[in-house]
Amino acid sequence: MAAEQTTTKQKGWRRLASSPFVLIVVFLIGVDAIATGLIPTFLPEWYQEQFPSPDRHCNKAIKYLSANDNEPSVVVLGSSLMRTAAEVSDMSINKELHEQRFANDYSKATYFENQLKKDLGADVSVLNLALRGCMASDYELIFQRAIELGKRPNFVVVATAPAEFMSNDQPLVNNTYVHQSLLKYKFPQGKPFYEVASQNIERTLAPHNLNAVEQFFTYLRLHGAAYLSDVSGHPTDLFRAAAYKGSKAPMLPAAYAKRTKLDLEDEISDTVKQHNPLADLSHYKMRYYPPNVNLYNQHEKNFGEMIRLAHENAIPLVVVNMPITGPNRDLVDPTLRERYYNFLKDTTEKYHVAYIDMDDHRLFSLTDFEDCSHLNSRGGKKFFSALAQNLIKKTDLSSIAATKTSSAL
Amino acid sequence: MLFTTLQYLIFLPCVVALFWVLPHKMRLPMLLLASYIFYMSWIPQFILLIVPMTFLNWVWGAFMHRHMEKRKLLLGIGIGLNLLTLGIFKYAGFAVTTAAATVGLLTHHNPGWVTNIILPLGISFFTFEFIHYLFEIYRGNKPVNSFVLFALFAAFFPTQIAGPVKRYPDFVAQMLEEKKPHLSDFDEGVPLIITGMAKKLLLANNLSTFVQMGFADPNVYGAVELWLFAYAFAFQIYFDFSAYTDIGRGSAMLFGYHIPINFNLPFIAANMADFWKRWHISLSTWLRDYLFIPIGGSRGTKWKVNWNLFVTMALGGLWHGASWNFVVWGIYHGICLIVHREFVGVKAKLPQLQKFWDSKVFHALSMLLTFNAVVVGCVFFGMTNISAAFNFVKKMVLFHPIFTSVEGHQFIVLKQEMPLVVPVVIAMTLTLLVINYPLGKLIEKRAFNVVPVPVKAVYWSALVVLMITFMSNAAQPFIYFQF
Repeated sequence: MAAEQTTTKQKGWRRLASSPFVLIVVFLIGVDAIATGLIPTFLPEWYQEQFPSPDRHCNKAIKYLSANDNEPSVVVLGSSLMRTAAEVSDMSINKELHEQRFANDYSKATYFENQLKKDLGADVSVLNLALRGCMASDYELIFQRAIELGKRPNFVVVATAPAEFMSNDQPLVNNTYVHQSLLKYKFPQGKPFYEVASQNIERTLAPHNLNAVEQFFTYLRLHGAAYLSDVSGHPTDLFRAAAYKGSKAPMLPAAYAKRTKLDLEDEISDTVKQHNPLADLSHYKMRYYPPNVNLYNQHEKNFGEMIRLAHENAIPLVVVNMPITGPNRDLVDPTLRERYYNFLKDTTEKYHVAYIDMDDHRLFSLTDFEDCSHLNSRGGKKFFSALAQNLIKKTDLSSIAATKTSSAL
Repeated sequence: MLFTTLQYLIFLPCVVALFWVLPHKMRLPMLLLASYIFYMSWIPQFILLIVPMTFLNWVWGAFMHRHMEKRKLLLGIGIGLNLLTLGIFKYAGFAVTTAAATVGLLTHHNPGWVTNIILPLGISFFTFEFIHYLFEIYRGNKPVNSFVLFALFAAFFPTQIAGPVKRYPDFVAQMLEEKKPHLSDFDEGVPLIITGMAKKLLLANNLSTFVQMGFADPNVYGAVELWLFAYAFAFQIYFDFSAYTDIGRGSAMLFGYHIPINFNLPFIAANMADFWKRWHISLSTWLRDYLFIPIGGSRGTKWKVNWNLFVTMALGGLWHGASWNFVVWGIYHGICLIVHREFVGVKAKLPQLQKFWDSKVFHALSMLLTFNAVVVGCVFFGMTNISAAFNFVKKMVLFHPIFTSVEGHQFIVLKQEMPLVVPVVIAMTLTLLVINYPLGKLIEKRAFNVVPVPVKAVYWSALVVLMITFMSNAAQPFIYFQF
């Protein structure tokens, strides 16, 4: 009887071992275990180098929120529009910044800072927290987190544009990468930045972490693309294609294999972009159409909440509407565009918050843009000079700066 | 809920688990509920159309069965009502815009009439299944007694949106069986789902980026490029549609149901008649049984039979979409079938060439010709602008200009904005062209059956890894969803 049972059992095992369904499940569990369990455990340094956390885009915000440093005079919140303007204008005064420009934790806006110092005649420090892909709701999240953590910014500049309210290619407000990244952190007050970063590493190394699986596959895809580019002699994406258009230079830099696509997008030379600033207009067509009213409403609600919060906590805040090119502006659905402008105007008025509309076609022309939305070096300098003057004219920044300087003395 | 989305990958195992956990009596109602939830995940309001349509056809079928003496009249009314619904939702817009264009031609002023009716998903497939049901009762088959059973036959989620067009006697018989879970169903079903997903995500979606480039502005390209676009599109529709069928069949197998195949290596067909025995089999057999045969079939004079073929294919084309390009596509296939039919007659009159007709050379030539004829037809399938489609085909057939010359460069497909995608997809298309026949033959001869199971499992697992690695972020709907 026992022998018979054993035979039946063996048959059962054999059947399982010859089942494609069972084997597929086993193999996939194996891949998952290797990709997210074994490799990070046994090769943590290599793993961190190869799969940097996607949260790295938020590092400077996380660093600010978790640090106990003295508050800067001005904190700038914004998206890539502000980030690019700050980077390109800084590059004009320090060519060596080129490499830093593309580091996600570049948190300076030196050109802007110098302009403020010059115009105010006082010592001013600017912290640039503009993040690529940052949406209107993300500003509120960062701002809210700062208040929760007991921070009290001296003066906040929030730079926004229609795309931050209605980009169809972005997830809903509770799923943006900024949102995802910030929500995961506990922000230990008073602990140094590296401790916060170590949380991040622990999280990435957690076995069977879907995030890590995604990174692993992204790594495979990017390396595959790099290899195919080497073989075919063609650049991997249209950004690189544009960058190398007409050039007989090698298509890929040697370091490509270790860079992500997003990093590469940043590397396009200004000269190429200047060649046709409207070349990326089609991206915005996709972003604005079909108009996503639901998404817009969510961002509007969160952005409004941030202004209310600033008012409630008596934190000086100024809302800046960023300049974009006319063709980009024209792509926005007219109803939503109207709503956007009215919303900024009405809400800032309601809470007595300054509003500066920098989207002025008399001030900026196509030659001030490196693409259809981001300012180039010339435009960036123009923008910060005008912004500094407007801030002094329309806000209490001068008195805040004076108080801060005297208290420092 | 697309088959290739995470929602479906969560929905399916949940329904499968629930199905096997529940007692037999509760399984079918649960499956019907799941199917309606699946349907409502697109546009919920259309359930208010599908459920009454299902109920009316069920009642009408029973009524017809009780009044067989008036069955012809009742069948006519039943079919008429189904076609009327289909006509309103699918063809009203087409009729109105065609009328506007005609008025425009006559008066030199297009009134610009449009309708704003949204096409309910899968309505063409639902309608064909209902008509089949009524026809079968007319022919003496028994109606389905249970409404749940009938509704599930029509709405079964793995085949709901894009077929295959099922036959109720076979499907209902399977549903009535008290099933037990078998590992073999999972062994067959899961690899089918993976294969279907790979066809869609790795092949069809990647080919589509390339195809869109060519079909969007064919005037820019030369004949070689246009042939490449057309080949890529032929493979794209095949992979897209057969992917849907594979995932649907695989999903059905997880419940222990077996749905007939819809494709049988169509691109190795030796002639057009053979092609239609291999391509969208459930549709071609439906057209044969419920349109071609009822209007006369192969009975009558040569001209009458050819006419029947022509009408069947033209209406089959129109079934695909409310647009003239589908009618042209159907007519094109009708003509090809008539030419083939005539050629068979010529062959029979030339017995002295019998050795050649039976030779491998002739077989290879016919296969090549059939494949290329299908590819040419695909241009009409893919382009709504008829005159642009004719220009496309004209350039392909006349081979002029061979290449276009832009900015001093030949072969400008390589100069477009997707520099890596383009060479990869061209390589993919050329590879598919080269391996089409040998691979098709190997599959037909079941040569892969000898491959050890663990090797196959590694292959399917690798496909899953590749899909996760290379799939695009945006989910693309299946082409046949529009029909």
